[in-house]
Amino acid sequence: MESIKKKFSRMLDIPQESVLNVPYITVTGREQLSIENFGGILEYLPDNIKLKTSIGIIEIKGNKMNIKSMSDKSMTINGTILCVEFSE
Amino acid sequence: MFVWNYLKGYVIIKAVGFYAQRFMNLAAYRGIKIWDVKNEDMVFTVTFSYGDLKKIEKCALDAGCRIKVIKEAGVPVVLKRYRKRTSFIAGAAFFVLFICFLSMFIWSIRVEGNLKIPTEKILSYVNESGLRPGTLKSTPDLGAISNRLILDFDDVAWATIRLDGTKAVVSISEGTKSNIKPQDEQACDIVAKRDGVIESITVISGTAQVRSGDVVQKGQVLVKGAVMIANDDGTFTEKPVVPKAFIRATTVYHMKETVPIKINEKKRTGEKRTWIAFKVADNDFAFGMPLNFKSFETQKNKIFEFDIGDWVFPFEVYKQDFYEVNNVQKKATKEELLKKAENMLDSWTEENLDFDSYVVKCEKNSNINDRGLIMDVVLTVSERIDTNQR
Repeated sequence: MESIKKKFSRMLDIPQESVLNVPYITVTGREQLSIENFGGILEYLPDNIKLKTSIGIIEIKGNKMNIKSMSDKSMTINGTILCVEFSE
Repeated sequence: MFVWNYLKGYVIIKAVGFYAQRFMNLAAYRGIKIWDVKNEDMVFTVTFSYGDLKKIEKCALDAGCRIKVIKEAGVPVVLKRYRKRTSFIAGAAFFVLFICFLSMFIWSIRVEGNLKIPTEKILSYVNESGLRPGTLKSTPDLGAISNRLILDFDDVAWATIRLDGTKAVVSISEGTKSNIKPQDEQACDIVAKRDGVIESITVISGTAQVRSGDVVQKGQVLVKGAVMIANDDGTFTEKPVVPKAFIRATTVYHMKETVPIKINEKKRTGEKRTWIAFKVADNDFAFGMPLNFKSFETQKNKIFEFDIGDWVFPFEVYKQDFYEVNNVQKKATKEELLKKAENMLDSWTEENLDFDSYVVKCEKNSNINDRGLIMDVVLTVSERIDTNQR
């Protein structure tokens, strides 16, 4: 089913985040990161935030990070962003 | 965003416990928006809307996490705090309604654009027409008043009245009388209205009969209301036209006035009465000892007046002093006579000369005798002397 959706979205050029519920990450400079379609917080430390998503775990490393806003679908993180890592 | 959050009200809590992240996930899952989340040594500070407090408490209970409210702020919190103080809320509501009520009225009138016409004259005119402080904004017909202003004042070329909050602004544009008169579209001649020496002549239509430097007499034709048109056969035909021209000339005015030496002066006897008065809108209420003076002078001293910027509250308290006076005749000094003569000359110039005229030279001779000061003035004036002959 997932593969059909993927093919369908590729064929019609539809953004995958709206069809497949994959995370959509926007980084503004090094100070702000927004993520849509995330499942929940696994760990929140000022220098490390782990988020559960449909494609696995996303780990954001940085300094003095805080959550600017959070709802069931999106989150905005403020602070110094150093790297974003993906893992299964 | 802060303003919106303040209007909705917000709560800041501290969440402690092993499952603090779970608590936040649960809150987000249940549709609660949280913001400004900080982790300080595993103590989480979380902010959310005031209306979600109950849901947050439930989330914390379900997640097994302890929370403590550290701040509640915003409009709902203030209202909750003061809900039992009914008189305070009633007072606040009354204040808001009172301000709304007051904003339905015109409280001040400003006149702008007038150079020649005194502001007081325009204010008293609009007051008589129904536009006065304290009237409802919807009552006066501003368009009709501004139209009447144009018609009744010769010097007003254009006028409009607009409302700026509780202030009525009367904007006027002044013009000379000749500018606002309807154009005489009948063919006629332009003649001199005074004797003089032509300074300049600009003819727009018609045929000039004089040149700069010519000496002209009152009634002399300056511009003929006709032009000569050449025919095909070499003859000329005179065609009547409406003449238009600007002709300035140097004219001379002779004025002889006597300023009487005896002047009436009011001298205070030393008797005085003081009244306290209240003024509400246009009504005065005064209290004090009855007056038995034949003749008196008054002096008004404001004690209290409430204003906010340009807006003056229509209530004031003032003290009115009445001084008994006797009328005595006295002989004016030379300085007083000269000053009075100067004032007379100024008012004569203002009354008799047009707006675009100016005095080139003023020769004054004055003699003081037993009767007073005899002032002999010769004014050399530069002015327009063209006028249409009917």
